[in-house]
Amino acid sequence: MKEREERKVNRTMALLEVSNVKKVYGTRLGGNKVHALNGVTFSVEQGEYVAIMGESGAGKTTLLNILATIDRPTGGRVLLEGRDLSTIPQREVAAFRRDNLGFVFQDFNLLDTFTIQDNIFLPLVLAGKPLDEMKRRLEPLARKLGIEDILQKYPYEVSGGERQRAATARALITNPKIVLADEPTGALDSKAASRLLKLFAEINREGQTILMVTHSINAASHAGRVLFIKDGCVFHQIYRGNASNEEMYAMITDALTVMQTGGVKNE
Amino acid sequence: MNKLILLPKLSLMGIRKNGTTYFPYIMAGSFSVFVFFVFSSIVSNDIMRTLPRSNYALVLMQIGLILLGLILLPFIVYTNSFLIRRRKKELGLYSILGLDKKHMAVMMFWETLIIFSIVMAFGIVFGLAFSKLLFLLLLNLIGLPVDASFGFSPDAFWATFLYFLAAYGINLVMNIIRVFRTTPNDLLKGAKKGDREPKHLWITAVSGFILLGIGYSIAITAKLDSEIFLNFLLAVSLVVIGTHQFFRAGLTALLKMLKRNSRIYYRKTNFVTISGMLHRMGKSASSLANICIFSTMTIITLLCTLSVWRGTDSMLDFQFPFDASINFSTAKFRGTAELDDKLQELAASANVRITDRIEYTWQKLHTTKKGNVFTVQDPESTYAEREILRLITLDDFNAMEKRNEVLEDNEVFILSTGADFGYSQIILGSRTFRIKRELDSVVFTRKARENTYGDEYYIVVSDAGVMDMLRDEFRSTSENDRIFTILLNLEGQENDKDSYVKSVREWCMTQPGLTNVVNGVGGRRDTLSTNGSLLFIGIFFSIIFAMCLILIMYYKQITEGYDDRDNFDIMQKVGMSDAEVRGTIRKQILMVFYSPLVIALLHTIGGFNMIARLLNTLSLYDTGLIIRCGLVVAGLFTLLYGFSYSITSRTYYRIVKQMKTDVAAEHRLA
Repeated sequence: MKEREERKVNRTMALLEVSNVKKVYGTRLGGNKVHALNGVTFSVEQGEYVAIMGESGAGKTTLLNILATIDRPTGGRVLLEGRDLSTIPQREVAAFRRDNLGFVFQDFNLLDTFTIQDNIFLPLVLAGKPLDEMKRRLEPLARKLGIEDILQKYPYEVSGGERQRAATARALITNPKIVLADEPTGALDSKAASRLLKLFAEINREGQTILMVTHSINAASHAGRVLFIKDGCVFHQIYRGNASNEEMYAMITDALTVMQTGGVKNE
Repeated sequence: MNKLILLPKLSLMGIRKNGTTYFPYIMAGSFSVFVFFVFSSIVSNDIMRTLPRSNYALVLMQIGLILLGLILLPFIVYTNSFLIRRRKKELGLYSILGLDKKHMAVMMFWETLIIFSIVMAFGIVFGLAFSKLLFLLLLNLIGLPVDASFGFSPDAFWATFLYFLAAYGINLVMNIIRVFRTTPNDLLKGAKKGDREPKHLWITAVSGFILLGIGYSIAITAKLDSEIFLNFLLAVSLVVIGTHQFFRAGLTALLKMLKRNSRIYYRKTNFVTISGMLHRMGKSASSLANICIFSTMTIITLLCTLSVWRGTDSMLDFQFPFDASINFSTAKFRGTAELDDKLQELAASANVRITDRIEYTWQKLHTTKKGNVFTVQDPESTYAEREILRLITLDDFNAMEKRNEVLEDNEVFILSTGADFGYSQIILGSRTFRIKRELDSVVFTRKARENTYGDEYYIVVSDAGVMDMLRDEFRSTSENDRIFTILLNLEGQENDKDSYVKSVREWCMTQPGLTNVVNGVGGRRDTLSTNGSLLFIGIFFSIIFAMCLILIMYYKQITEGYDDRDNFDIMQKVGMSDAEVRGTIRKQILMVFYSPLVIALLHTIGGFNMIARLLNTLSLYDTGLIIRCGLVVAGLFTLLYGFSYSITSRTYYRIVKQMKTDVAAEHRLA
C-alpha cells in the first residue's frame, strides 16, 4: 500500500484521464438525439482498481467501449499515459489495443477453435512474439490463475469460472497498462465469482491497474474506488480508504440507495 | 390470429427471412424442374418416334433423363439438409415461443409446399416457353429438319410433377424428422463444438490413397475393350470415395502436421487459419470433396462434349471413309461391266457425281492370334485373341495406292487398323513371311493406334497364288470366297447421295452374290444424330454439374461466414486489425478453396486416358484433338471456378463484415 502511494505521489500525470467525454447518438434522420454520455470526467492512477457502477442504460458500456478504442466520443478527451486516444489512426487502433489494453468480457469471448493455451497466446501471436517468450509469460500466469491443468483443453470442455480465468490470463499476458473488465462475474456462479474477484484483487495488489464495469455490488466491493454513473455523468464516488470488503459493500449499498431515491425525487 | 393463417404465414416469413440461402435453392430447383421437363417433353414427344433417324437420339435422351433423375434427387436432398441445419436457431426460438412440434411439422409442410409450387411454376413456365426452342436446337444438332411442330406434353408434365413431388416429399420428411429429433435446447445452442477428427486417421488416409491409386491405375491402363464401361464406373466410384477420404484424412493430417510445427503454427497469418480449419474439418472436408467431384464431373462432361463437337468430322471419316461400299462375293459375281454402267446411270438420275472409285478383291481369314503367330481359329480361344485378316494382292494394292511396290513370295506389307503390329515377321499357319514394311495409312481404310477393340489386319501378299494357299490352310465353315469391294465417294446434295446409295443397294440386291452395301451417307447421319444428342445432353449436364458446384460452394461460404463472424469479432476485440482479418480470410480461402480445383484437374489428367478410350468407342481417335479440348476446358473451367469463387466469397466477406455493423448496433442499444 505504501509503495503504491509513493508511486502515486511521484507521478504528476494520471494513467488514464477522462475529461468531459460526451457521446451523442443521433438517429439517422437527425431527429431525436440520445445522450449516452453527458460529460464524464474522472482519472485513474497507476495501480488503481476502479469499479464503475450504474443502472442499465446509464452509459457504462458506452464508456467502456470508448476507453477500449472500439468506439469514439463525440466530445471530450481520453488520455492514456498522456496520449489522446482519438489521435490514434484507425489502422493502428488494433495494435494499440493489443499492446496497451487487456479485456475481460462478461461472456468470456474465448474462441472455440483454439485450446485454452492458444486462446491465451492469441494476442501475443498477433503481436508476433516468439513461442518461447509466450510460454515464459504464460507459466507464472497460469499458476497464479490456477489453469495449468486445462491449458490443452478447449473452452467448451471447461467450466465458466475456468473460462473466465483463462480470459483473464489472455488479458494479462500482454502486460497491459490497464485491464478493462466488462461485468466479468456476470456469467459466473457465486463461488466462481468470488474466486475471480479474489484473483482480481491479488493481481491489483501486484500493481496491475484495473477498471471494471459492473452492477454487482459484491464485485464492486472488491475495488479500491467505485464511481457511480447516472444519466451519462459521474454522480458520485466512494474511496475504500482502509475499509474492509464488507464495509465497502455497505457503503456502496448506501450510495446506491441515495442515488436511486434521489433520482425518484428529482423526477 | 388464426392458426390456419399463422402457420403458412410463418413459413412464408421463414423463406423470405432466409433469402440468402433460399433464393439460390429455389433457383436451382426451378432450373432442375426446367431441365427435367424439357428432357421428358422431348422423350415423350411423338415426333421423336416418327422422325427418321431419331431413334439413337431418342434412346440417348431417355438415358439422359434417367441420369438426370439419378443426379438431381441427391442434389436436392443435400441442399435441403444444408438449409434446415442453418435454421436450427430459428426453429428453437419458435418452439420456445410456444409452437409445438406438430405445429412446426405443419409449418415445414407449408414451407415445402410453397417452395415446391414456386419451383414447379417457374420450371414448367420456362420449360413451356423454351422447350420448343430447345427441341429445335436438338433437331438442329442431330441434323434433322427443324420445321417439326412441338406441343405441350401432359405426360412430360406428370412425370416432372411426380418426380419433384417425390424429391420434395423426401425433403419434407427429413425436415420433420429433424424437428422431432431436436429439443429446443439443442435448437437454440447451435454447434459450438469442433468436428471430431476422424477416427483412425491414418487408416482413412491410407485407404483413401489406395482407392485413388486403384482408380487412377484403372483409368491410366484402360484399354478399348468390352469392359471399358464397367471399368469406367468402377474407377469413378473408387475415385469418388477416395476423394472424400483424401480430403477428410489428408487435410486433417496436413493441418495437424502444421499445427504440431510450432514455428509455422504460431505465426499470426497461420494461427487463426489452421485452428479454424481444424475446428470444422468434417464439414469442410465433405464439402470440399463434393466441390472437387462436381468440378471433375463438369470438366469431364465439358471435355467430352467439346471433343465430340470438334471431333465429329474425324469420327465420321473414321467410321465411314466412303459414301458407299459395295461388297460382292466373287464366287457368283458377274463382273463389273454391268455394275459400272448401272452406277453411272443411277448417279445421273439421282443428280450426284462419283468423284472417287476404288476397287479391290480380298480374302478373309478367321484366325487366332498369339503374338505374331496366326493359326486357324480355335473355338476355345478368347474373344480378344480372335483376329480377322484381310488379304489383298500387291496388284490391287498398287492400283489403289497408285504405287509401284515390289514384294517377294515370302514378303508382305501389313496394316493394322488398331495398334501397330510391331513384328518383323508374321507366321500364318505353316508359313512365315518377312514383313517388308508396316503401313501407316492407306486410301481404302483408316487406322487408329488406339483402336484396340474392333481392329483388323490387312495383309498385302505378293500374288493370288499365295492368297489361295493361305485360304486353303485357313479354310473355315463359312466365307471362304473372296470379296470384291467397290468404294465410292460422291458429290452432290446429302439427300441425293443418300437416295443414290439406297437405289444402288436396291439394284445390287437383284444381283447374285451380293454380300452387302454400306451406306456411308446414312451411317454418317446416324452418327451425327448420336453426336447431336450427346452434345445436347452434354451441354445440359455441364450446366447442371456447374450449378451443383456453385451452389455447394456458395453454401459453404455462407456457413463458414456465419461460423467465422463471431470468431473474427472476438479477434478484433483482442487486437486483430482489419487488415489482418482480411489477410487471414484471404489466406484461408486461398488454401482451402483452390485445393478442390487442383485435385479436380489432377483427376482429369489421371482420367484422361480413360476419357480418350471412351471417346474411342464413338470412333473418335484424334488424341491430339482431345488433349486440345482438355486444355481449353481446363482453362475455361478454371476461369469459371475463379469467377464463381469470387462471387460466393463476396457473400462470405459480407457476412463476416456484418459483425462491425452488429458491434455498432450494440452500441446504439447500450
